[in-house]
Amino acid sequence: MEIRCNQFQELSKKALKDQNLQQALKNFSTLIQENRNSAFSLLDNPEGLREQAHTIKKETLERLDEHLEHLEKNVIRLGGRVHWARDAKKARELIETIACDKGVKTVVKGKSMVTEEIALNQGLIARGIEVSETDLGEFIIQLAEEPPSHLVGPAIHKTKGQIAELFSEKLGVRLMEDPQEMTMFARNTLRHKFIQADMGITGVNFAVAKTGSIVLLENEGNIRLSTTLPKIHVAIMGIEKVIRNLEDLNIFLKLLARSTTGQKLSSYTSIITGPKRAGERDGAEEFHLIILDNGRSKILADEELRETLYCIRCGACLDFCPVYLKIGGHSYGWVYSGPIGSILTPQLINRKQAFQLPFASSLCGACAEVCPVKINIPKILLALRRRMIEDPQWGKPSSMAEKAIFTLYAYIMRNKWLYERISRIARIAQMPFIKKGILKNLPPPFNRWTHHHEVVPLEKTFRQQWKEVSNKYEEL
Amino acid sequence: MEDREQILSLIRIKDTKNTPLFKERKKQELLIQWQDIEHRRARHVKELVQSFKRECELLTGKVYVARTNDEACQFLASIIKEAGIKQIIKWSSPLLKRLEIDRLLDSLGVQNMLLAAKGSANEVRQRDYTGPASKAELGISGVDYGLADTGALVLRTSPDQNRAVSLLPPVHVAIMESKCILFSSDDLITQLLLDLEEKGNLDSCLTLITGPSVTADIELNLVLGVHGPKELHVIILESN
Repeated sequence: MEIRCNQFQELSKKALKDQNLQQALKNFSTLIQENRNSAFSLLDNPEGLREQAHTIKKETLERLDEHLEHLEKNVIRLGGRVHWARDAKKARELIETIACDKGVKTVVKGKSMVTEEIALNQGLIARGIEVSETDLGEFIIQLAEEPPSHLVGPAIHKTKGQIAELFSEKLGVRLMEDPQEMTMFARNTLRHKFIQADMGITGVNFAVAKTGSIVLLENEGNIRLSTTLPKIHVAIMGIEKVIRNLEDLNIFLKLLARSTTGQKLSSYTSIITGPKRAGERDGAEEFHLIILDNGRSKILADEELRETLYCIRCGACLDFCPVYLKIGGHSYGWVYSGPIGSILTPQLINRKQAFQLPFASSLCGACAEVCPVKINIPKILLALRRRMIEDPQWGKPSSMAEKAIFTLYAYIMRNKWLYERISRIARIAQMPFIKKGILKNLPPPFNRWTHHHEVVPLEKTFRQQWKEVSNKYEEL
Repeated sequence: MEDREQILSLIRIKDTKNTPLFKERKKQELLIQWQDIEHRRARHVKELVQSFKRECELLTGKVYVARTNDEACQFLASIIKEAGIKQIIKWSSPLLKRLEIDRLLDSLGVQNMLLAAKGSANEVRQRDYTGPASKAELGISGVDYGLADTGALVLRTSPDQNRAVSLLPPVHVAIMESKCILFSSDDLITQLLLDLEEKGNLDSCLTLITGPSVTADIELNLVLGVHGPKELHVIILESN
């Protein structure tokens, strides 16, 4: 999909003015935060589980090559095919080739971020293949020709009125603005597609090396249909999706649905091990697994940033992020949004294009607190920020003037005498700019602060306040 | 091939040749563990049924506890009669055979739309999905394991236990013996590890089902039955 990360500021300004979006984000976050927290509170030892998940990811990634080879061996043993793709283009070509070789005319798809990442649909459609997104949210945004705005709820930004409008415009049906009626209409439309489809394409939540299985979680059943009805199933995974064994899977199953929607388990968890066996009536006869790098090996090699790859795409960091919950998913300009998008996107695409993203955070740390695999997102944000201002390869190194200002600032902060003098001057100098207790319209370059923030004026110094408080205390 | 070698060389960050990839539990150890699970299960079967029922009902599942085979069949019959169902698809697993469900269906005038799997795989597929079976109003399956802590049903796939029964029709009725209920996914994993030891592989597909098919994609409104069943009924048959 088109990358618009460099328009971050314009896109987020637009999002802030979008009343529907603001209302949707508010409703969404209230519900999802409550659900997630209550689901975690029912666990015996949630902290222990998160620690375990973190360790599993760490250990698995350290020997990723061996685990992927192990996975490959087992998938092949079971009669599946394994394909490797260095980048998005190669992955698209692989899937297009499979589809064309087998004379595939129609494809049904389960929701998958990685297929968005490689812009799979456009490639298939260009070859005359009909591609139907089948997750209800994805179905809606495919009609709207929009990218998903949330890892888990791709259409949370749309109101039922907008969706009814969309159905009437694109599908020629006038429906009530009733979620039940619209959902049932989608069910019937898509059931027909499932029955016709020659190929089902899904992502992978976990690939278990030891058993050669892929594991898929969902609530709707569209992924089960995509893997059960068509003759060919193609599953695509980033290299980081492999886990070692069933014991590891058990840990992640306890965490993923709880983090995603606050369910104990998703409605459906499918553990698919190779193509269908002799005598079985349904399931794909042909199973292909695409293993995609697309920039991930670079992240793996970078010890400071490696934790980025621990992500299991639950979306919890989005649901708790005060920035995401204001600007929504589309502002981030690409597939991955929210805190994880802010660290993942600059590492996967052209860094300079996404250099604003790591700065779009208040570093409050909510993301790290809810992350089921304990990725220290704020730490990675800071590491990226540092690289972006220091390293021309990563972003926009700061200007001489900026450097000079901060050197001076650091000097003042370290020097007590100077600090006291300057802050005394600042207290007097700020007086003309205080309006109703807020600093407004400072002259440049300070207007960069007052333009976007409500800046509280400098109060009495700490020492003065301390003296007053202790005097009062002594009087008592 | 080129991509494979390139990726593998790029991600080789640690030299750990000849050390095991992970700790594996021995078969003996697993067997002992499974025995322990069975003992605990036998002692707590009442609690397990209650816990499963509670969890499943939280997810809008309807749970019926039957003391005898006849009672189980009566529950099934009343579900079918109440909804006025005429066409079903079903598993042919041992429990369903033992309950003589086919006879019950005959007496109710209900037709099993899943015909014998004669002909090529392609013909069977055509028949099942575009033919009469796709119009079934209800699917009857057995259950291999239930999980008491989440209300999950665990369904294996085999020639007698196809995937579509719990997926295509708008209503799914699952019949489970109470002795199949495990405490949690921890127990299930032990069983799957034993599968691996004994059969060398997992089943082609294992499905964990908790509640009906559901979406909240339109303004967070919960709508049941978006793609799969919108009703889930579980008949628990108390084991002797």
